Amino acid sequence: MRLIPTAIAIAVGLVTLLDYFYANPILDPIGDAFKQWTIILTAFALILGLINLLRVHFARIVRRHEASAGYSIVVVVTAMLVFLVGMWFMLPSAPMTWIFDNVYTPLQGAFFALVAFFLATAAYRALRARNFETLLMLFAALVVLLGQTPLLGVLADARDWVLNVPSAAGVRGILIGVALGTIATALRFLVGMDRPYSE
Amino acid sequence: MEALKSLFSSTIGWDQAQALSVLLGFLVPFFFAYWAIKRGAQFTLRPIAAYAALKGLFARSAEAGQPVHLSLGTTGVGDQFTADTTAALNVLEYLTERGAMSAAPPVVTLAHPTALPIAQDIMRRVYRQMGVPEDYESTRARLVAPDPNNFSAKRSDAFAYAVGVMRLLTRQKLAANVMVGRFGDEFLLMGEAGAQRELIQVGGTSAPEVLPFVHATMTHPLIGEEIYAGGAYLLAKPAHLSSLFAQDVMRWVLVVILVILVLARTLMGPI
Repeated sequence: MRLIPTAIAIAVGLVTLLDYFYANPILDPIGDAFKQWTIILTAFALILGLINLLRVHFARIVRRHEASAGYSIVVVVTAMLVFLVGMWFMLPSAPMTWIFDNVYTPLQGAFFALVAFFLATAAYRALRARNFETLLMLFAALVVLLGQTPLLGVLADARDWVLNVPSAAGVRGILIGVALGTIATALRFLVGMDRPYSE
Repeated sequence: MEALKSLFSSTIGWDQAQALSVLLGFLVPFFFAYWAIKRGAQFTLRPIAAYAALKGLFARSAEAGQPVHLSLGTTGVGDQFTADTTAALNVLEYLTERGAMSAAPPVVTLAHPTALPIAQDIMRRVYRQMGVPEDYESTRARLVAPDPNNFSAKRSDAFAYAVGVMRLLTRQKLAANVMVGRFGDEFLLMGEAGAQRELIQVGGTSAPEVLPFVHATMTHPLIGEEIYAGGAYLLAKPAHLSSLFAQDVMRWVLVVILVILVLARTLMGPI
């Protein structure tokens, strides 16, 4: 039974890959269709996700002793409300835009403002000079930070050097590694040796 | 026949040709390593502290009777970050295996709906293979909050997910917090919530702009491509070991090419 899903996965992977490599009148519409199917599958997965979310939170509401039951009621009511508004008025629509602009975006903005405080405590922990590596990090951070200030403009060149030479080289090295890791993962799927979708 | 003819007469661009050559270059060391492993060859993996820590987590988890939290990141399957989600799913398979043995199954959270059925399927399959299918609970994997921008793919916005995970990290009794996959700035909020509770934290992502947050908050960070090595280190499957071998070979090939080009440009001027 594992042969059929594996064969389908390999075939779809190869066709999508060939569609990327070649401009071909036969492959192009097939590749486009596969991309469309991904969006349709994601929409169905979203329904499963909503059911999962409701199951988790209903269970908490039923077990009333849990301290989080109140929050779960808020989650369930909000999810159902937004779902019904979306189904009734469809997307894009004025009521959905109102919900996003007046509820979601301000909450998101308020929460994003917390990042500054979290950053301060995280930076304090990370930049304590525990070993040679963190000492180097602390030194580089100080050079970049002080290089931004007008009073210590002499450090501007050092700041640029830190950002453009060691930092850029490190980032590029990581990106090359990530690209190779991505190819290695894709290759395992393409040859059917990695099958998270079947036994 | 006409279809095959049209395929062979199709054009290939320069960018595509470069990508194809890298892909084909991968195949040789990959199949060689797979062939060698199947015949009993042993590859020595360099130690990665985060994976060693993951292996040690479950003694603590079983002893305390507390689960491990695993975040699969904010992306799913079907987009350009599928490999990151796959890396997280390898960690999930390992944690579920260990959790089923120690009767302390992990709590799994995710932000992308496409990752949910796969995560649930992996957990269900592991429980069945361990002979305890009745212990599997589908709600151990939870979609906390989807990212409303995921479908436009212009930018990540998983703050609602981060809030849900922060609450879990601060309220639920946990043996450890593991975060592997693709993350944005929200990594800092979740990682810091775990760090302030002094949890053992293992985590990593492939996004370079998030790595400072990983280093600042994780007890055992995984840097960049190390997240893709999880299958080889934790599950030791031949396909994962051979792809890791191929990855290392290709990295050295690229390093040699880069050094040669840098030397050539330095000595001879613009090429």
